[in-house]
Amino acid sequence: MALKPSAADLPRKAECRRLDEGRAATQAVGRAVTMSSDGGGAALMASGLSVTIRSLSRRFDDASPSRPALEGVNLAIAGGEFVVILGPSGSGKSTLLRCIAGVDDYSGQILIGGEDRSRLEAAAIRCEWVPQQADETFLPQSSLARNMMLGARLRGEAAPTGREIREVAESFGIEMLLDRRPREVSGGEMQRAALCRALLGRPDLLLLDEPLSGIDEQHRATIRQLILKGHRASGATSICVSHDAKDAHWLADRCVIMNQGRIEQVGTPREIVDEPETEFVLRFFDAPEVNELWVVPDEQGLRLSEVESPGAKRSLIRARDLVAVATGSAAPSLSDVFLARLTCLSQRWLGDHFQVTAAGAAGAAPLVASSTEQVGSEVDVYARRRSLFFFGGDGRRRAVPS
Amino acid sequence: MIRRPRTIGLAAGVAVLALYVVLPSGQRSLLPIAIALGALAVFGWRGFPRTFRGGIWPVAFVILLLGVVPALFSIVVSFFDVSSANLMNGGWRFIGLERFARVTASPDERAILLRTLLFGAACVLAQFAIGVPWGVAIARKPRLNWVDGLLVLPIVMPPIITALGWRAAFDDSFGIVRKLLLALGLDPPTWLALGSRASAGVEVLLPQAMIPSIAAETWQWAPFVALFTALSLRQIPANLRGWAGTAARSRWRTFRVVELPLIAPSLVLIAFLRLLDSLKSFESIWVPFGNGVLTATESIRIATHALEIRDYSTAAALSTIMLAFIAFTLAVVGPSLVARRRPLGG
Repeated sequence: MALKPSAADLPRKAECRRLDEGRAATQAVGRAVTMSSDGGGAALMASGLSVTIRSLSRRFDDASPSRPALEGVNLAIAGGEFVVILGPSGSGKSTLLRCIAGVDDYSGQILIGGEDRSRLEAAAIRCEWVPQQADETFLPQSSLARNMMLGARLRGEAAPTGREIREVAESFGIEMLLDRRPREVSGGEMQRAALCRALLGRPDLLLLDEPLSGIDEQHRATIRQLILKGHRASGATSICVSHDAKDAHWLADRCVIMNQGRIEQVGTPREIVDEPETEFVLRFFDAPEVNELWVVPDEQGLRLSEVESPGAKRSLIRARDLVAVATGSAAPSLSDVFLARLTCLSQRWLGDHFQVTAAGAAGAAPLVASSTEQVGSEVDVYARRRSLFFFGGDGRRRAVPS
Repeated sequence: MIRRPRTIGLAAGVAVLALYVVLPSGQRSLLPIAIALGALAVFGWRGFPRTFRGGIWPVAFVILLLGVVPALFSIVVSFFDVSSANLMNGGWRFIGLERFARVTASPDERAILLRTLLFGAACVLAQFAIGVPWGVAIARKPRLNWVDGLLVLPIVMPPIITALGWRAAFDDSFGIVRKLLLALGLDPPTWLALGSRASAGVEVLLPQAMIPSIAAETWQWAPFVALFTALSLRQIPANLRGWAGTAARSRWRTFRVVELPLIAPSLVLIAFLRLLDSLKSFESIWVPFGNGVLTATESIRIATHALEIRDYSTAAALSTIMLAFIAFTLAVVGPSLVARRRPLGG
């Protein structure tokens, strides 16, 4: 007799099924892109182009003069690299992408494959740009399938065949929508159709502006895999703008963190997590909650202090890097530093771990830490030493005080 | 029950708009009837009163009172023998369709109707040949300025002034156009003499004599087409134009593959309305040529009967024929233009 799956097994099975679906879909994208490349001959073989940006500035006429959309941006992206640009709203990331796409004017220099962007004919490179409002780039009176042929018609080359379109659409789960007009599909479906069209274009340069913003959480993982697969299969240089650090972890060879029209830091996702160069980067990148602590160096390492204490240094640490354990328990790891003994005030479940808010003396700012301890219990709070970051008044990183 | 109320509603709107453009001012009073019929078609009998909620009854009443009476008067006149002698003092004799029969039996009348159509088509072609590329150029500018504002100048200019200006330009002795063509070594015809002739040996449907009239119409309305084209193009989302620009081999290709399919329905509609308006052109033909045999169109014939011969019955019959022709064209072509779902190249 076959065993019924237990309740605990069910999510895991569903997850496996999703992953399998994702795997099958990515294989289809890879096949379609490879097939297109083969079919188009050697001249159409996509190859990533390097992108070099020097002293790039962009000012909107109606913006205040003190706040340009982009200012002094310098960036070098290697051919075939996948770069994710992250930043809060208004940080200039979409504007940067539009400048690279050649849609917006700018001052400074953008070199694509070593050629000046401003002198480059559109036909000279295969650039696919998917803006955030992807639905606006579709002809409203034409079906999605006909819209997917538009790029080829604009380039004056043979449009992708119905089979190619169907295969890629199938991998994105929109094959049944190909005959519909843009207004007859949802925002998320349009976003997927725009991605299909971009990949069908066999790009050398793939520019994606928040491609997953309209897509539900269930499909995001699959779509990320499809984007990555398309990127690898085409060999394109890909630049993706996003708000979501998960996109960076999944997709990026390197991340660019932007703030107020400037680049704060460039690095791999790991580097940005481990070595944030500015306070902004620490707070912005993959850190929903950050604790602000005042610590005093002592012979054991560091100890939590009151704000006014002489010699106290301001420090920041992500909530997930603080661990609260029952009093008297051993430190979670040898490298952890004991900070303080506090009382749990509240507890919440974050989907994969518990988090507590703990405080000491009345009036002191509470800390947020990972912990499974109950509300009201006393806890010892430890910090991962490498996760305590010190910043100067200018927001830039300082060395750990000793 | 109406299956496609939106399409029919749009068609009704276009019909009303077109009627407003084509009808002589006296007959614009027919509009309330057209609106009422359109509303009836869209909403059905039970929904009909909804159209008139919101206080438009008083306005409708005034329009009916001021407009329908003269319109009915004009139609009634076409069935009676009315001239300047008995217009005011009564004694009209009922003649039924006699005037209609007379004008439709005349071979001249059929030639004039065909010439009117050809003249309208030539005007629209010229207006679009100049207006559309002009509009594209305007739309490409980052922002409009006061020079672009001058576009409306020909549109608001009284047609008779425009016609006088172009008559002077095409003057057989001193006209600048003739002088320019002579300077270029060409041998231009004496347009005004040709067009004003009282009789002609050969009947020509659209003689080159009408070029001054077509030029005047084009000068007056090409800017309108340009303005309309520019505004239509500017309605296209910047993202779509930007996206097309990243792929297109040339600007022309962007226009042909992306922009033209989007603005084509509007352009076709405007072409249709311009055609209807050109059919009733009067000043641009009357001022240079008067009632020339080679250049007379329907509106010239109507004016001749009404103002020179004072045969109001024939003028009214011609008007009614023209109105019926336009209404028929609107009814047949109009809805298909509006309901056009897949424009060029889409």
